[in-house]
Parts: sequence; C-alpha cells; structure tokens
Amino acid sequence: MGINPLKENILSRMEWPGSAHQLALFRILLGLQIFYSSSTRLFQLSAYVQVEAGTHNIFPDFLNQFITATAVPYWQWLTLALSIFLVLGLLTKYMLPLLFVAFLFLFSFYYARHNAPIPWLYIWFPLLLLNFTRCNDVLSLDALFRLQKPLTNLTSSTYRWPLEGVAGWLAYIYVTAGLAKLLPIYKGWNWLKGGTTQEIMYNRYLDSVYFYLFERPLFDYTTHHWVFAVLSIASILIELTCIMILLTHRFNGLVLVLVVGMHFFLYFAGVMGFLQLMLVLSISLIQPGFFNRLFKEGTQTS
Amino acid sequence: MSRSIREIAFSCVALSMLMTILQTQQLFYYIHTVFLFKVFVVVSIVVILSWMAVMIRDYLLKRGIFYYVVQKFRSSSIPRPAKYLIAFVFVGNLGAISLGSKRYPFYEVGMYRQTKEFKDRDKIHAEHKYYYWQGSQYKIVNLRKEASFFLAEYFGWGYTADMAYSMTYFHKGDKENFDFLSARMKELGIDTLWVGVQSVNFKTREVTFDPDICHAITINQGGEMYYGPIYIPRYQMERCDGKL
Repeated sequence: MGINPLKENILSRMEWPGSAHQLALFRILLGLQIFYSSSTRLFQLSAYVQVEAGTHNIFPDFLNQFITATAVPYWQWLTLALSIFLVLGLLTKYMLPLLFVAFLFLFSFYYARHNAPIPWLYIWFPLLLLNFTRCNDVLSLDALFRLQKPLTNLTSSTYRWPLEGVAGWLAYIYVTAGLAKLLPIYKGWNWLKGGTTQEIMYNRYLDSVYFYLFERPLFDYTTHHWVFAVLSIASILIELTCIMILLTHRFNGLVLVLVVGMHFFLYFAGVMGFLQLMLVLSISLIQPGFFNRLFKEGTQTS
Repeated sequence: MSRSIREIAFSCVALSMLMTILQTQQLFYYIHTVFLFKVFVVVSIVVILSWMAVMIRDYLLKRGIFYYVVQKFRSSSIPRPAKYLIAFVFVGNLGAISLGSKRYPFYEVGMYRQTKEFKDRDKIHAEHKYYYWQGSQYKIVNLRKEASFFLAEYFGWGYTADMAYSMTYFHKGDKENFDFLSARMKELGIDTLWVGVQSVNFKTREVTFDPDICHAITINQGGEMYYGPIYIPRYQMERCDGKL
C-alpha cells in the first residue's frame, strides 16, 4: 500500500478519529512533567547566584521586573499547585489558562538565568493547546464529579487534533534542531565533520553516565575522528527524519525508536534532560486505535 | 504528486539560501571581501525571488502546497482562537528559525549549532571536582550523577538535570554556587569540601583522582578548563599560602 501524503498529512489526520483516553493520558503526563520541572531547586540557586544569562524574551521590561521579583516566592508554588490540578483533572477548564501563564512567567525567569531550552521548549506549546481541548472528559475528577460531560463518541476527532498538534511540535523541535546545525549552508559541512560531537564527549566524559557506570572511556576520544563524523551525520539524519511526522503517520514508530535511541546515547554521553521530555510528547506518536483498544473506547452509553 | 515534490524541493533550496543570508553576520563585509560569497548572494536573490513569484502565482491560482496548507488549516475543526494562536506561534518560530536567533518563548533550537573544529586534543583531560574526607578515604562529589534517580548519592527531589548542569558548568566559578552546595552537604553532616583534580587518560583509558589541594589551585589558575575555573574556597587557598 503506497503512501499518500495528501491524505495522510498532519492536517488531514486532525479530522480522523481520536481517543479521549489518549488525550487524557497526555494531560496527566504533561502535568507530572510540569510538576517535576517546576520543583527544581535551580530556581532557588538562580535567585541566589543572580547571574544573568544574556538571553531575551518577548515581554516588556516592566513585566520582566515583576516576574523577577515574584518568580521564586509565588510563580513556582502556583505552577506546582496548578500542575497537580492538571494531573487530577480538577477544575481543568478554569485552571489551564492560569497554569499556562504561571508556567510561561516562571520559565521566563529560568531562561533569563539559565541559557538552555529544556524543559520549557517541550512543554509550553502543548500546554497552550490543552487550553482548547476536552482533555478532562475521562480519567479526571471533573468527569467523576460530573463537572464535565464527555462527548457521546469518545473516538471523535475532537480528541485527535490536539495530539496531532503536539506531534507537529515534536517535528518542529527536531527538524529545526537539524536545520540549525546545517545553516548557514557554508557552516553545515564543518558541523558534519564531528568536531562539536567530539568536544562534547571529550569535555563531558568525567561528568557522564557512561563514566559513572563503566569508569573507562569507550575508546580514545582524541582519535578515531570518523566515529564522531558518523555520530554527527546520524544525529542530523535522525532529526531531519522527524519531518515524516508531518507527511504521514506510518513511520511514527520508526521515528520514535530513532529519537529515543539518539537521546539514550546522548544521556550516556553527558547530555541529559531531553529523553524524559521527548517520551512525554511521544504519546502523540502512538496511534489512537491502541488506546481505544486498551480502554475499550467507543460510544459512551451512560 | 511529482509537482508537490518539486515544490517542496524548490522551497527547501530557496529557504536555505534565504536563511543563510539572514544568518550571516557581517553580511556586507563578506560580500565585499569574498568573491564566491558575492556570487552566492546574487544567485540566492534570483532563486528566492523566483520562488516567491511562483508561490504567489500558485496561491492566486488556488493551487500548490502553500494554498493547500492554508485552506486545510482554515477549514479544520480546530477552535478559532486556537487557530489564531497556532498561526501566531508559527510566525514567531519561523522568524526565530530564519534569523537564527531566539526570543523566549520563540526558539530556533540551536543549542548545539556552534561549529567546533576537529583538533588533536590532549590525551589527558582534567577536571576539578569537590570532595571530602571520610576517615582516610576521599569521597568525590559527582554533581551530575545526582540528577539520576538511580545513581544519586547525596541529593534528592528537586535536583534535576538542569540543576546539575548549572552547578557543574554554568555557575562553577561562582562563590554562591559553592555556598549552595556546601549548605546541602552540611545538612548531610559533611562539613568541609575540598577541590581536587580528576583526570582521564584517553590513551590508557584510565581515570585517576589527585586530592592534592594545592595542585588543584595551580591547575585552576593556569589551565584552560571547560567552562572556566572552578570556585575554590578561601580555607583551601589559605592552606596553600606559601606552598604555590
């Protein structure tokens, strides 16, 4: 059976049947991830060290001053509390806009002092999308207390488009990461030669999981240049492969395995923090039929 | 289908050229000094303008991928406010990607985009690490290890990967970073932290640790360390006064 991107692309798939349980499960996992990410003591450390990272955001100065003054004592606790509401699915409709604002403000403070895109890059847009969804129709206290009446058809496309949106966000993150390494064009060739990969593996070896577990380097990182070139080319190919998510759903399994494999390797090499976030978003790459069978979803009879 | 593939390929080429021009710092300097770059820019402008003309023509004729995507998105069942927000985020990110810059929360995902030259590095790589004495044995505090649920020895909840990264690299030279670590270790009953040097010899694949506090100071002052020198506590500096 041939691939037909016109029928299988991400915009077409948004109209296909979905799964209320898949969306609810994503809500729960995203809530847990937000709770975990927001509980980091990096906020306290950043407030104590007071070193700016030289990054910029879209907010006006007065708002940044307000966020700086209130981030740690207020926004962090508010985000933590609201993320529990998200996990439980309690008062979801009213709580989600607040959580989005709290998260955006809190991690604006974070990014101003910690020049890294994790975890906020993976979270902020999916959290924004959830504001417009029926993610509390099942597996939630709202549904239990009848504060939210689920749709009759739990496989409606109403449950599909948000997760396709998340899959699109995943594709954006990885394809753009690949492009950023190749552009400008005259620089891309140098990147593929592997010098950056070697620098990371060489300098972070003594702080890597691989060292903690095995206590000896895998090979001599100062030679075998071709290994680093192969690793660099492989990482770019894996990242660019994610564009398939936009064209068809048929390679989602392959994309998932490749990206998880890449992050697993990076985790061992000393680049931590990405794997867990990727796994949360990867719920969107699983076909809704799997969840429909798992939860025996269909038309609600009650 | 073949038309769509041609359109996508043409768009990729034109956008790559556009982004290359937009992301080149000191663009006019290179145009004036590098002939090949000048040729590239001229060719790129022709290609980009042709691509834009084709895209606009196809859109007006209600055909092509761009027209298809816009119409498909407009007619989708996504709630209208969400559509506007998605379009806003798309434009914001497209701007960031095109310019190769970032403005929170819009991001070009370029955290590892810097190009490093391949070079013959020293066979021995050294790094400072905090440690303490337990009887006659030294115990190294591997800060990044603490971010792992399975490997952590000293810290618990709240000590995430980004926290470990920050303490190990970003803030390693700040006194406040050491104070933060020291306070936590005191809670665990560890009063005094020292700085030693851990080294890996990539040729022999052996790792060693040198607890000599004065040697650590010497290396900190002279060596080119990853993310710069580490903060060494005053009591260690005083202990080595006159020995350096």
